Amino acid sequence: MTRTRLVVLGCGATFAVGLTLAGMEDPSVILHSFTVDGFDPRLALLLIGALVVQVAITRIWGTKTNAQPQAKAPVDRRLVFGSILFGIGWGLGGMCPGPGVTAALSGAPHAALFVIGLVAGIVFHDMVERRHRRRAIHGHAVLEKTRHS
Amino acid sequence: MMVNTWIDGLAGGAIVGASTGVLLVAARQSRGVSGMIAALFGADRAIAATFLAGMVGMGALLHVAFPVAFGGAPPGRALPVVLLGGALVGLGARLANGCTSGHGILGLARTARRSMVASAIFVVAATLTVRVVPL
Repeated sequence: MTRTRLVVLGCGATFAVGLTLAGMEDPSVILHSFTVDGFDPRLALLLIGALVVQVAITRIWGTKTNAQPQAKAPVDRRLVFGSILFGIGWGLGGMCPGPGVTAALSGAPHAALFVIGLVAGIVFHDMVERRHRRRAIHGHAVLEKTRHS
Repeated sequence: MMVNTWIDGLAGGAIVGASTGVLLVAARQSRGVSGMIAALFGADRAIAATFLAGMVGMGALLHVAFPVAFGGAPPGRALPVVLLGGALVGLGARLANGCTSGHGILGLARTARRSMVASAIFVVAATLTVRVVPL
């Protein structure tokens, strides 16, 4: 295993530790982040803590990487629609992808079902998108051919 | 109890931030968790599988060591609803091109406008959902 692979493995494990410490593996804690009655501050605190450290690390060590998506990409309907679906799912399932993956092998039925739904949603989206892209490329090729003939 | 809650939240967040920060700087990965799952089916599958294996493996160990931290099923939600929730989270994250970690941590840290919009909508939609489907 290369050094990078080891670092990535460690990052995955560390991520799980942070989520668990912050209470994110308990769906009740997440759902009570979205209520006034019995509000639980841990989700908000987790995001603040994570942002501070993330910004500090990137400031100190820099991000000489082209892996980051374009910062100035526009806000489009896809982003808004997807975010709405995501929020509804978050409020229904009491988990987002991180806590779900961490609890995947916990044996709890809700965690297993959440992860099955999660992976199915991701695979479904990417399959549809790939098919559309292929059709778009194919359509373009046909157009090119007719234009040249 | 309250003080512990605050320390747990902030410390847990700092640890998560250390993970995403090192992932970006040392491994040049700017993917959140949903992006990693999607990457399992693409060219970066080795890195994605390694990261997710770390999460799943450590999660399993933590569950054995601290079962209490994993609570129980989400209150007021039948299991089929949880399955639907997972599917919406997966589909939504791919449409929005990021989840809580991708937009909420990586994106906000570099003040990306798309991530600010996405993160705000995530929280508003979840809050309204919890109001419509009470705990």
